[in-house]
Amino acid sequence: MGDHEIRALRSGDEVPLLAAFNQVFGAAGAAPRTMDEWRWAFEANPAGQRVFVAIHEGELVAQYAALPVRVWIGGEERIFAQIVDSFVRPDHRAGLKRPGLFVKTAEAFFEAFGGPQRDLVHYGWPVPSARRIGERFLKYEVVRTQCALVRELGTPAAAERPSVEEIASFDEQAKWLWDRCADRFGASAIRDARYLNWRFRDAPGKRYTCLGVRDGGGILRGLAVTRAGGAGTPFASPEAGRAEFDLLADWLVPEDEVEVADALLEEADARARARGARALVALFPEWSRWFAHFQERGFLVHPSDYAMMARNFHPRYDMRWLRERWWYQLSDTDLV
Amino acid sequence: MRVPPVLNQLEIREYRPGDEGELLAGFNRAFAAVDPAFAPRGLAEWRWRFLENPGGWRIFLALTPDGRVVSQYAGIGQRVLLDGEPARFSQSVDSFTDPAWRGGLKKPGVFVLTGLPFAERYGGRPPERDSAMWGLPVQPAWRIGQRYLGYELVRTQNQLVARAGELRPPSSSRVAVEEVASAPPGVDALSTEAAREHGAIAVRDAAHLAWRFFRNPAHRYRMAVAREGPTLRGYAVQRSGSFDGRRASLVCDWLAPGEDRAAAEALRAWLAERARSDGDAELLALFPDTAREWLEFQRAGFRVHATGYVLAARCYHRPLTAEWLRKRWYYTLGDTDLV
Repeated sequence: MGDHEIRALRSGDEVPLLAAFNQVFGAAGAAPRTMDEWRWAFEANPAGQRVFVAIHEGELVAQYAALPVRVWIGGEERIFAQIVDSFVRPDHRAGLKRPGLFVKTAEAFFEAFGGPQRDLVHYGWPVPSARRIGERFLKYEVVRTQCALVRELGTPAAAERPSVEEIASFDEQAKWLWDRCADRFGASAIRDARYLNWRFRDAPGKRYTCLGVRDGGGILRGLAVTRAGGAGTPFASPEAGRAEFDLLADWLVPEDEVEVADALLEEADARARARGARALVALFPEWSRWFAHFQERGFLVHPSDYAMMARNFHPRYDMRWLRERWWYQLSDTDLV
Repeated sequence: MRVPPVLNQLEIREYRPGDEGELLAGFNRAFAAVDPAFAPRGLAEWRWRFLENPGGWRIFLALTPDGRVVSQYAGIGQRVLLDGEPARFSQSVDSFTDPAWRGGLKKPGVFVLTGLPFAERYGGRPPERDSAMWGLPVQPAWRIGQRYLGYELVRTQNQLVARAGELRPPSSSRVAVEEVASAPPGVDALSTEAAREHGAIAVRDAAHLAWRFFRNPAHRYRMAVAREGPTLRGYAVQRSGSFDGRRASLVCDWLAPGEDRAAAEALRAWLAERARSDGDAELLALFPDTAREWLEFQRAGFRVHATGYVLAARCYHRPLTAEWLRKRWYYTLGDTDLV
């Protein structure tokens, strides 16, 4: 294959990058990505850009990329980055037994961005082939085999609940709400207005429903973000996989606000039913109060084919630490 | 791998009759050093665990020139049915290295040097060798095993916990449940029937159950069987104890194959009753989250909680991989040496 130049993305790479991306992922059946979608993900992200590419004879043939997110951890703001969209054009691929361009591009990426003083954790839910290469060559480890909470939609419970409103845009109250929740998180993406507006309001081609409950003074007490999930989902066992799902993409409710949680849950259920969905899917770390609470409200814990994988760049934040302390939601992945 | 010179003086070999005394002395020394509550293991328990196991023993030792055992890599053999065909797994247990002989993560020590020939000797293709070796390693063993011994993660293991008073009562009374004091007639056929539902499952025949539960020198278990007329439909084994720091009535084994779930309901009712009799507020069970029982027990009132355990394995031939095991291998607490 000859020499490849491996380097950070430069201005002017965008068009050939998108063309190569659509060629590789299009062959696997994915819908083409638009330039608007790419710019939202990699240029408008408030936490910055993490993209390395490999060039061969003037052609862009590989990418290793991540979506960074500002995370509060150990009393300071740091960066975690979700590995996404990495590819090598088929004519530049090596087998599993010897590290090829994928690994070389990734190593350059890690060298540039990972480290105790740089990004603390890179993570993702890789497809099986990327997972095998990652475990063998790139120090990927499993944080957890991922389970999901699934509830079939039933008859709405007739109870007095706080009213729920739809939120079109987030303001400083988002950060106030996250501050109330964050005491329980060892690590969590900082869910302030900047992040939430980018993630949900501004995402092109995706429609999220942001639901909020406010107190008498208009202060936000809880937030749930939902999205139609379509038929079947990898977040449930085949038994449940036949149903039409709505996904709970994000959830931010202080642990002592059970009344708010139940109101948001009922509203999410009602909207899912109105859309014709038959089940609601959510994701919580097992240590979260909401993991237990959702089970009390009729959710069952299903296995999935996903594993949350990560590479830590500080020994303190190993897989066990992350499993027991890192708060993440479906929206911390690019799967919703 | 380059062996540090100091380790060259060790003899690393398979267990031989006569090693028991030094082996147990080394084992008791190593575990007492890390666990103040550790009760020394006696020869009777050791013999039961390894030599009397119908699934066989797997033991490699590292010995000093004067015969002291400074490291062990050991496994409890399991007869399994792999897609219906006889095969073997082993559960890696009781591995230790004398603290004075330990290496760090960056430098393979005697633990790795004992584990490598162990894997070479016992791992391989069925029916003679272990198709998979598995375990619930403590964190240091997991890290070293990942790096040097080919351990892969099958799953982060969750558990099922229920309040004894909140389990749903059985909806059918056509299944009779009774406690038994020995492995029940018909259990070999039940084990074979269950194997049809799973890609891999340890053989739960009379020989296994007698060894695992009725001749166990350390614990007393209770077993109940569910029968419909003369036909054995399922069984459950329980004892009061602790798992992962939680005191509970432990569901130590469970086998209730078939589409008709009346036997399963009746056995869960018996488990709840036993928990109440023993004064245990909670019941605790372990299943793969891909097994039918995972959702069934939740529907019956069990809730999912995390554990501190990861289930790790090393597979020796296709199609076995950690992912295959995650999807198709059935096990319960009784497959482990933790209860």
